[in-house]
Formats: sequence, C-alpha cells, structure tokens
Amino acid sequence: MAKILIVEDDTFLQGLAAGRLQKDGHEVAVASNGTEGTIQAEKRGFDLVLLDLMLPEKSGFDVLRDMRDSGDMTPVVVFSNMSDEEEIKKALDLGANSYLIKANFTLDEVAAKVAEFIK
Amino acid sequence: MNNPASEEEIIDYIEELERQNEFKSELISTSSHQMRTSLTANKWAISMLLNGDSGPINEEQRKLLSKIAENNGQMIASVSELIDINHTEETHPRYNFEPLNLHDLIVDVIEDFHAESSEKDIAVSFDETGENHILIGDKQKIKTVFQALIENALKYSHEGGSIMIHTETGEDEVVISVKDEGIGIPESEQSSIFQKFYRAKNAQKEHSIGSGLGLFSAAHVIQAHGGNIWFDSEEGSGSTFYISIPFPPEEVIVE
Repeated sequence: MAKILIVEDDTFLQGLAAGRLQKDGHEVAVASNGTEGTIQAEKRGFDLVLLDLMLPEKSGFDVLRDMRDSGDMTPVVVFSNMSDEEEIKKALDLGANSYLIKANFTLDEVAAKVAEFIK
Repeated sequence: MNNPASEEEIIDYIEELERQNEFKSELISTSSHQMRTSLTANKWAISMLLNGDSGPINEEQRKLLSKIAENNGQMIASVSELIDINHTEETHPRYNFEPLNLHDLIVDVIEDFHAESSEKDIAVSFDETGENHILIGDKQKIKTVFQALIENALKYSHEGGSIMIHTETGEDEVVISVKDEGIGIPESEQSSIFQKFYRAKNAQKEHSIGSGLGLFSAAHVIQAHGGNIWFDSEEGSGSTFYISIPFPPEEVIVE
C-alpha cells in the first residue's frame, strides 16, 4: 500500500486508473492539470507519481523538471500517448523512471508497473 | 492566359503551401493524440467490464464486449499509424518546394531503371508529345513517387512487356500515367492498396509493395503536393497508375 499521485487531464482515464490502483490498496490523489500537479507534488509524501505529459496550463515535462530541480526524487512513471522517440528521451533525460505509452498498456499492466517502483 | 508567374508569386505560393502543410500536421497531431487518449480510456473500461470488475457478465455480453474491444484495438492501431506517419512527415527534412521540369524528371527516372528494364526485356517508353510543365514541388520526393510506380510496373510486368508513361494537361493540373501490361491487381485486393493508410503496421509490412517507399508513401507525397493518385487495373491485363499534380497559380509553359 502506497500513496500515489495521478496527474492526468482526461477525467475518465484518470478515474479508471485511480480506481484500479485503489483496488490494489493504494491511496490515490489526483490532479487534472500541470499546475495542480506541481502543487500536489510539492506537498511530498507520495511514493510514486503517475504523470501524463500533455496537460493543460503546464506540461508534464515541466512538472517533472520542477520536481527534480527541487530535489524531489519520488519515482515518476510517465504515462502518455506521445510515442515519439524524442519525447520519450526527453522525459527520461528529465528524470522519469519509466515511460508507458498508454495505448499499448492495459490497466493491469500499468498497475504492475507501478508496483515495481513501490517498496 | 498562361502568363509566366513572377518569382515573387511563386515564392508566395510556396510559402502558402508550407503554411497549410504545417497547419495540417498540427491539426492531425492534436486530434490524433486526443483520439488515442479517448480510445485508451475505452480500452481500459472495456477490459474492466470483461474482467468482471463491475459485476458478473453473461456470455452474450462477453461476446459483444469482446467485439467492441477488438474494434477499439483496431482504431488504436489506425490512430497510432496516423500519428507515426504524421510524425515522420514532421521530422523528415521539410518539403523543399521548387520549380521542377516534369519531362526532365520522368526521363531521369526512366534512365535510373535502365538496368532493370533491360534485364526483363521490358520497353519503358515515355510519350514526350504531351505538353511539358514547370511544376512546383519537391523534386526528390516527386522522383521517389515515379520510382515507386515504375519499380512496381517493372516488378509486375511479364518479360518482354512494355510500360508506357504519358502526361495529359488538364485545366488546373497535369495527370501523369504509368501503364503496364503486367499481372494486374485482383479486384478483391484493389481496395486495400490505398487503405494501407488505415491499417496496422503488421498488415502493412505483409502487403508492402516495392522495396522503396511503395504506393502508400507515394500517395502521401502526392497528397502533400495537393494532388491525387489512383489506378485502373484488371487482373491479367495490367494496371495504369495515375498521378495528378496541380499547377501553381500561373504556371510557366516551357517552350
């Protein structure tokens, strides 16, 4: 059981992911845009952040950059539908721990990936 | 009527084409990512239903949901394909639009295939009596389109056959045709040739035609020039592929 922050603007997708992770016994907080994502992340205390990249107000790249710049090394699993190599590389270079292309994964696989990063 | 366009007019036209092209790419990129996100949410929700996460389902419901899941998966594959193709266009060297001499280009490509055509004893002829045109396009990319068509024509022609290239001037475009007397395309497969655009990668690989860009990319290039590509074919008697390329606003006729 862990504390997980989901930053995702598609509320349907966000709800599904949150529901699935809660089923595994995790405590889940959600943010629907990048600004809110940063505010939540700054509170710290999360064991993992599931981060979308294309977000309103502030991109997931910027959320990730701000986290790492402030020394927040919470594991970040990017889950995005951007599949271009440059974007994947950029996210990993910024310090993402893993990159999932949403459309290629099932919810169970996303949950399994999350479990890998939680001690 | 056919006053030569000034250099300035041609440059304006090229810039307009480039702007339109960029706009289209952005639109495709944004909307296809949105579609993929919605389709992903559907995929997840369907699998939850199938897993019985929201209660038991009966056999008929399972069948229907499986069908929906399958269709949804196909849509994800199509949208992903669209994203990849659009991305390829965005990251490729930009289209380098410049004036190009149509006849010269065709003659060049025919020469490129001299070895192959001699080997199969196929006569590749170009009817140069048609009016020549200076078009605005990316010379290298248009060349690859002709290469793809001639390569296919050679590949599917019988030994000793002939390939005929012809140009026809329309009101606002030139239509180039490449006719062969080869094996033709079975009627059942005709619709799939350009449908590739909407197909999954594996299907595309399996049915890939030609070693280079193939028809799919050829269509992509021609569409980027505002033109069209189509064909007539009868199994056993050959195929004719047509490409249309629109004229710039006031095109220059080569004397």
